[in-house]
Amino acid sequence: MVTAALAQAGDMLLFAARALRDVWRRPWEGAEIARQILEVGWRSLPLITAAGFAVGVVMSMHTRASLERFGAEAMIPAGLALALIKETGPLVTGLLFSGRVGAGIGAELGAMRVTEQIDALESLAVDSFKYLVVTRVVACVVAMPLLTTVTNFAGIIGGFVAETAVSGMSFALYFDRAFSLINFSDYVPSTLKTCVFGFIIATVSAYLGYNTRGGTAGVGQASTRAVVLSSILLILSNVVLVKMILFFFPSR
Amino acid sequence: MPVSKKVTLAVFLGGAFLLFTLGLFLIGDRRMMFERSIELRTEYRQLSGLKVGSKVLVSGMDAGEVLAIDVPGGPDGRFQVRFRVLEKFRPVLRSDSVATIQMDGLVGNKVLQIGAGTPQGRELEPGDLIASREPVEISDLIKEAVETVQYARGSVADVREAIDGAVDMFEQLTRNASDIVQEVGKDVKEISEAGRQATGDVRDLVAGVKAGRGSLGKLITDDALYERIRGTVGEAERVAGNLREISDDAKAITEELKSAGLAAKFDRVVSNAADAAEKGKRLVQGLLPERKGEGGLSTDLRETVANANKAMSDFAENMEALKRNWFFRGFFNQRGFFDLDAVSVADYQAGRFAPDRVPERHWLHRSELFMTGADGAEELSPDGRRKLDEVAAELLRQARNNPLMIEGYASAGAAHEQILASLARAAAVRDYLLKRYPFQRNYVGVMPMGAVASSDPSGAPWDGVSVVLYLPRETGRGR
Repeated sequence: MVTAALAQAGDMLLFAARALRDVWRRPWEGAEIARQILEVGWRSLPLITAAGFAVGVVMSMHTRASLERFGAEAMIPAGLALALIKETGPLVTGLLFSGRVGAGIGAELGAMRVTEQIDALESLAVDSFKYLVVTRVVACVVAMPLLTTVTNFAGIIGGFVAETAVSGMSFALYFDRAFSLINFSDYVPSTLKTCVFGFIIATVSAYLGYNTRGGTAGVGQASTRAVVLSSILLILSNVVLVKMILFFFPSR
Repeated sequence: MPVSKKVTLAVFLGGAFLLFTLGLFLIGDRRMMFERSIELRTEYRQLSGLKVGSKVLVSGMDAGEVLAIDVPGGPDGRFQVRFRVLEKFRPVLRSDSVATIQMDGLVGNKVLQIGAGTPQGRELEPGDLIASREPVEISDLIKEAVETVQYARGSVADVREAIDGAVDMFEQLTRNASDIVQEVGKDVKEISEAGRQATGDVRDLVAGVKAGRGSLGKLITDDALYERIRGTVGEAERVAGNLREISDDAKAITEELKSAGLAAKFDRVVSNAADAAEKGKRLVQGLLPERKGEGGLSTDLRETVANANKAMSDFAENMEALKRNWFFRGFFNQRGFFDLDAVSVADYQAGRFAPDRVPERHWLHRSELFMTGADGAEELSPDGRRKLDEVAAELLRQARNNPLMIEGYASAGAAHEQILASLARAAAVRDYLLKRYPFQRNYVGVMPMGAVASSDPSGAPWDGVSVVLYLPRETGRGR
């Protein structure tokens, strides 16, 4: 069983390496990439925005409850923004994205596999891997940081709504304070690391769907396993990424 | 791909990218990256957590950030802090501006605070070094606070010790006061009891005397006894007269013995002597007890006088104690004396007697009052008695409740003779006045002055008496 798991992990790594390699190979499949960006990005926007806003409201309330004990209510916007931008925003976006997009990719490719649509594409001399997998990987890598930015701002605005409801703080003062502690080294790396999240979600989900076996039951399994595995890998990879960010952009 | 989808894609990508760029702009703006600034320096031996990127405030307003911190080359060196400040703050910053490291709020980061300079300072140029003030560490403050608390604790302990001592003293004082009050209360109680008993005794005594009980009462109220005594005294006077006659007769006999008719005259003398003896016998019988076993009048009188003396002595003692208790002494203090007999010559001469009263004097010279008696002692002369009558008539108008002091003066002889003579003169005058006039006995005293410089008109030591009536200041004329 362990051997099988390790063999599958190796197979998945080779799948990811092939995706990375094929990104830079012609044909670019721009239209399909655009279509996939709309599919995974635009269509995820309502979910991401709503979730980000709610997270911002909740975090504002928790932050107030904590900082109020020290008489540091003025730090609420900065603390909230810092937490959202550095960690909460990217992670929440990644998990939501894996839940919605990962499951979709796994199910879609799995269905295509069991219905021999992929075989049909192959028979038409279409590089199914490049057409189905690489385009989705590129779309996820592009969409993830954009969605994370939306999540961050939605969360900050949600925090403002919660804060102004309690203290009546003005929008200008809130935003001034929110960005008072944030540096470029906090904002840019944390946003761009979600590209890695997008790559992991896309490759894992595509691998599980692309290699689906067992008919329609296999499609369901591929969908479920895509969400679970991509979420776990996303969280684990976050540890490594944060460590790398702190290494290259030490906290000042 | 349809156009609508392309537009949607463009909106999504463009919008999200703009949002990301907005974040970058907000951060850059907050970091004041889009405004002109100048770079300045300052130096610190202790940074206290200041780091690159820390805010720089000019007079409390965000003005820049710390760009770099250069570590010194050796332990004696100082950290060089390079920071940038917005160009617009340049007019505020002067060469005498001072940089301090402060905390941004209670739980905030460390910031570099630059104080505005004075108009006398020159405007800073890029790269200039600003003077710094070493930061105060919280640990130093805590250490200082701990020392202060320890000092305060020591002071509190000292104060507490002092207060405890004071409280102990106060408790001791209270106990002493309580003991004193108890003791005084006991004394007061005893004095009150003695006074009450004395008053009761006096009341009983007076009541008894009034009722005619006891020897004194009988003596005072028994008319028969009085008549007997009067008769006895009359008899005694008559006996004395007879004896004088006998003596005269004896003298005549002696004379006649020298001449003739001796026998006849001797018979007359014997007859007179027998008559005198008979009268003397009656006198003695009057004094002897009527029945055997009884004391007789003389014994009764002796006992009565002894009892009266004892009673009066006790009474006087009780009254003396009573006078000095808190309830009555106010009256005596206001009167000016407790007992005229208790006034010493020294106190009297020092003017401590009745200081609130004005003396009204009557100087009477020895020659005006006295004559030498048959025994060689001084006695009041008839002229002297008349003189005293005149003085008494004048004094009586104001004598009620005012002390009358008879001062005796004598300048002849030794000191003790002077005292005795002056006392005798004063006593003679007092006795005469008390006998004849209704002066209050306890308001009349004698004062043997001896030979002292007096205030008589001549200024010489007076020889005689001075009758002094002490009048209240508001009524006395004084002289």
